[in-house]
Formats: sequence, structure tokens, C-alpha cells
Amino acid sequence: MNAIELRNLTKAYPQFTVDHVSLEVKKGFITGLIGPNGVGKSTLIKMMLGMVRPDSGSVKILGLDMPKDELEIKQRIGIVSDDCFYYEHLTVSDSMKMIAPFYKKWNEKKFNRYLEQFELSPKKKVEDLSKGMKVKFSLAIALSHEAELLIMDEPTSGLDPVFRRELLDLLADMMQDENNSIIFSTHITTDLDRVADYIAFINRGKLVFNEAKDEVLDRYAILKGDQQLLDSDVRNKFVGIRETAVGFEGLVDNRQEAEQLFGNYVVFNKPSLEDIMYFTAKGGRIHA
Amino acid sequence: MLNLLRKDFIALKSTLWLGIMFLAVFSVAFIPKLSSSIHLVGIYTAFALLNQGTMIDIKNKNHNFLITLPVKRRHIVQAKYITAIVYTLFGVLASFGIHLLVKQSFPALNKPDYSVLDILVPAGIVLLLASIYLPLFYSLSKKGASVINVVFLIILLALAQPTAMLMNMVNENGFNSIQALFLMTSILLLFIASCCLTIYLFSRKDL
Amino acid sequence: MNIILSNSSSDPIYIQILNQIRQSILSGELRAGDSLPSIRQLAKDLQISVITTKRAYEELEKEKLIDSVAGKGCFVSGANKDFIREQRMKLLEEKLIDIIRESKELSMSRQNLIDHLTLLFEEEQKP
Repeated sequence: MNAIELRNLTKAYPQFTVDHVSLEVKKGFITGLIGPNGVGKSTLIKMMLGMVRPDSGSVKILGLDMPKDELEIKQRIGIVSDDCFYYEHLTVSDSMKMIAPFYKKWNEKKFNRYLEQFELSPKKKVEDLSKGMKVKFSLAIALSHEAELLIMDEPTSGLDPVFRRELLDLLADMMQDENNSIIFSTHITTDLDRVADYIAFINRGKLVFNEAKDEVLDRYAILKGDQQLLDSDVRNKFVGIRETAVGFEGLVDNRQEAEQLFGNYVVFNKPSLEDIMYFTAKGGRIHA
Repeated sequence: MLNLLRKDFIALKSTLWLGIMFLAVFSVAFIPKLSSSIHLVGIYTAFALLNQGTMIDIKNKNHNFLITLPVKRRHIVQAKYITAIVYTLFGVLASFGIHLLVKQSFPALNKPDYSVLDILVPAGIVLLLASIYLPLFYSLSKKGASVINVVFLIILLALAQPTAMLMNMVNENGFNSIQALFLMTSILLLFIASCCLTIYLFSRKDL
Repeated sequence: MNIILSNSSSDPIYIQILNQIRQSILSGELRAGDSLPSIRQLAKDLQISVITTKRAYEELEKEKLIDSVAGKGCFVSGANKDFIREQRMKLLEEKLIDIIRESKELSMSRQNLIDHLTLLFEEEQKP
């Protein structure tokens, strides 16, 4: 079963259009949603949560339809966002008192354990929490009502690398149960390089790919070599090329084909997700 | 639903204190000077509370937060309207109570006699204002909300005179029960219609 | 059992895991019936994708080095000594072929190679 199923979602904005995006988030895995800023990642997440209504297309979460089964869906999902919206002047424990009654499966013990683990004082006001603490607070709430799906929208932007690593451990803990799923939208791809199982890449409102991360990183390759090698035919093989005075660096999306074509004339490197994002977003020729 | 109502009161944790403070401030400001103070204190207190309740939502982008909870947008709006009724009742009844006390303790101020109308009419006015205020609030953005707040502030200030005149007219001519009933019913219907409109607008709003 | 991953290695991660677990089994460090960490626990410990650990385990199962029992996890299979020996011989042969290839690139003759081998063999024998 898919944790999330998006079919032909379309939403038009003045700056860009989310264009017939279809996407599955597989159950039992961590799916990373990557893409540059302002291309529609957040919009997709908002459509999943019913915050934005698509112009056309359908959203299914945990097998249920949005927005028809909205209430049941929201009982079973946890949401962490980079824009924490809680009432700023309330304390952590007051906020919990306000939120907990909404959830049928609220687990107070778990919540308190997370507070301890994250070193969050219940008496502290939300407005006095640092950004990292606010995200931890969001996470504590999201993880305390037996959610089967965690939807995270840029949870780590603005957080230090130390906490980002701790977050990965928390997510891995959640994934010990194969019934759980996570979708993690971010433009800081180093987090996903390690633990993501699947990667969905959105660029300019379209889905570029949605594949197992290992396959993506094996399929794409970074080639480095002499600029003399580049003529117009060769350039077409690249997703994006960066040319400098001392050589070129380019991304191909078919490593095997490139190996046959270029052989030993270039150096092959495994790309990072950031490389893939950079060269795809830039496209064409990049002059350093 | 109960949760939503509770949330509003927890959020306005200081609601009770706020209500009492508004009450005190408006009482002190109007009672000595105006004969129609009973109405103004009630109306201003009730509306100030409603305003507080809605402005906190805007300030904290709470609609974005509420949407993530397992609640229907419809219920969010309904809860707000019920809260508005609660604020209204609080405002006018408390004002009534204070004025009765004042009348007893400070006969020198020459407060007029009070009747049920002095509760009903202000309540009606607040509900009427709320019926216009709430749909605007739920459909406009943050900037829009600041604008309507200013607009309503001006309306409320401007209301002082007309309210006084209205009440005088009412008290002189008397309101027979049929007229009263008709008016109250229309206002309640308007309030309910406003709620439906707000639900419609809010359900379609992209956050 | 330790699994240490290197990102400077040219081998994909699942191969590194595969090799190290296989090594542990063939060397006797892991014995028949020993349980392996679950694919999800391993993914968490190594901070990698669960798909990677799953793939490694699947390969190990194909080589009949481990068995997976539904609901219980993965265990080192009760392979007999001969089989393990056979597996190790296979690996040794692969290494020998690599050595022979390399020696050809260096233009060594067969005798040259054997002499070298004998020299090193004797050095290894010295206590």
C-alpha cells in the first residue's frame, strides 16, 4: 500500500504551476522530496494536508481520500513544519493541554519522554524556544499520537548540523516499525543522502523522478574532463555542464551510456543529491 | 467541538482577566459621563474580547496550525461564532450587573432605570457587528485583517452617539414584544447566515 | 560483528556490507544459528537506507549464507565446513585471477610470478 498517492495534481500560481504531478510515497520507507526553493515542494505538501485546494487531481493518504476523510487521516498523521504555528505566549505544557484532546490515540507518557529526551522544559513559553527547540516540540507532538505517517516540510532549515543528525536517528527509530512512513521535504539534501530510501525530485512544478535513492545515485554521474571534448553533440548528453578555465564538470543521467561514450577520457564521480539538484535546476551551460 | 472552544479559552488564557480589565476600563471611562454607558460598556467589552480572540489567531498564523489538527474547517468557524456569543453575553450581562451596583451605590450619578431592553439591544448590536466582522476576518489575509480592525475601531467609536439616541428612542416609544421578537430573530438569523457564509469562504481559502 | 563502511571505496555500500558479513561468516566469527540485526536496525545503526541493507541480505540469502525466518529475522545458515571451505576457495580463486592479470600487465612471466609467490610464502612461514 502507498502511504501517499498523488494523481495528476495541478495548481496554477502566478510564478509557477504545479503541473500534473503524480507521486507515490511507499509505506515503510523514508521518501525525500527535493527541489530548489519555490518550485512547488511546499505547495505539494500543502495539497496533501488540505491547506491548498488543487485545481485538479486527487490526493489519497493511507488509502483514504482527501478531503473527504480528512478527520480520520489527520488522526493518523504527524506534521512537522519549518513554520511553527503554535500560540507563542503559551507554555509547552499548556500547548499540549490544548492539542492533546484532539487526538484519540494521544500518549502522554510518550510525549513526556520526548520532552525529557529533547530537554524541553514544560514551563517554557513557546516564544522563548529557539528554532531548534520549536522543531523538537513539533516533533514531540507529531510522534505522540501513534502517527503512521510523518509529513515534514523543511523541518531542518535553520537548524545546526548536530541536531540534524539527531533528527535522523529519531526518524530511524520511527522506521523500526515497517508500518510507518515518512515524507521529508527539504532543500538540504545532505540529510537525505544518508537515510532516504526513495527520492522524489521536483523542478519547476514537475516531477523529475521518483526512485530508490541508491538507483538514482548509481544512474547519475558527474563527469570531469577537458573542455576540448565538448562539442554540441556531446553537450546534449549532459543534464547540465559547468565550464571553467581549467576544465568542465557535468552531470549525466545515464552513467552506463556515458561510460561507453567517454571511456577513460573523463573522470567519473558518484554524484550527491545536491549535485543532481544543482545541475538539473541550472540545466544547459553554466559558466563559472 | 468542545476542544475548539476550550482551545480558544486556553489560548486567551488571560481571557477572564482581559474581560475584567476591559470591563473596568470602559466602566471607569463611560459610567460617570454618559447615561447610555450601560450599552457602550457592554458593546465595547464584548467586541474588544472578540477582537483579541481573532487577532491572536492572525498573529500566530493559527489557521495554518488548526488545519493540521483533526478538525473540520467548518467546526473551527462554528466554534468562533459560539465564542462570539459567549463574549457578547459576558459583555452585556457584566455591564448590566455593574450598572445595577453602581446605581445602588452611587445614586448621585443619576443612572436611569434599566430594563431587559438594555441587555437585548446591545447584544443585538454586537451580534450584528460580529456578523459583518467575522466573514471579513476569515476570508482576508493578515494585512486585510489589520485594515478591518481599524475600520471597526472607527465604527465602534462612531457608534457611541447613535447608540445613545437609539436607546433613548426605544425607551421612550417602548418596544412592544412583537417588534422585539422580530428584531431579535432577524439578528439571530443574520448571525447564522453570517456563520454559513464564513464557513463557505473559509472552506475554500488556500492557506 | 562489526560493519565498517568506507565512502572512499569504489564498492557500492550494499557490496561492502555483503563482503563484511560474508567474511565474518566464512572466518567463523559468526556461527551457524547466530542472529543478524534486522534490516531496519542495521539501516539505523549505519545511517543508510533500508533498501540497501535489504539488498545486502537478499544477496547473502542467495549465496545461502543466511536464512530469513518470517517474523523472527535473519540467521546465519547452518552451512557445513565443506561448503564454507568451498566458498572461501571461490574467493581465493578470484583473487588469484586478479593477481595473474596484474602480473601480465606488469609483463611478468609465469616463472617470475611463481618465484615471487614462493619468496613471499616463505616469509610468511617465518615465525
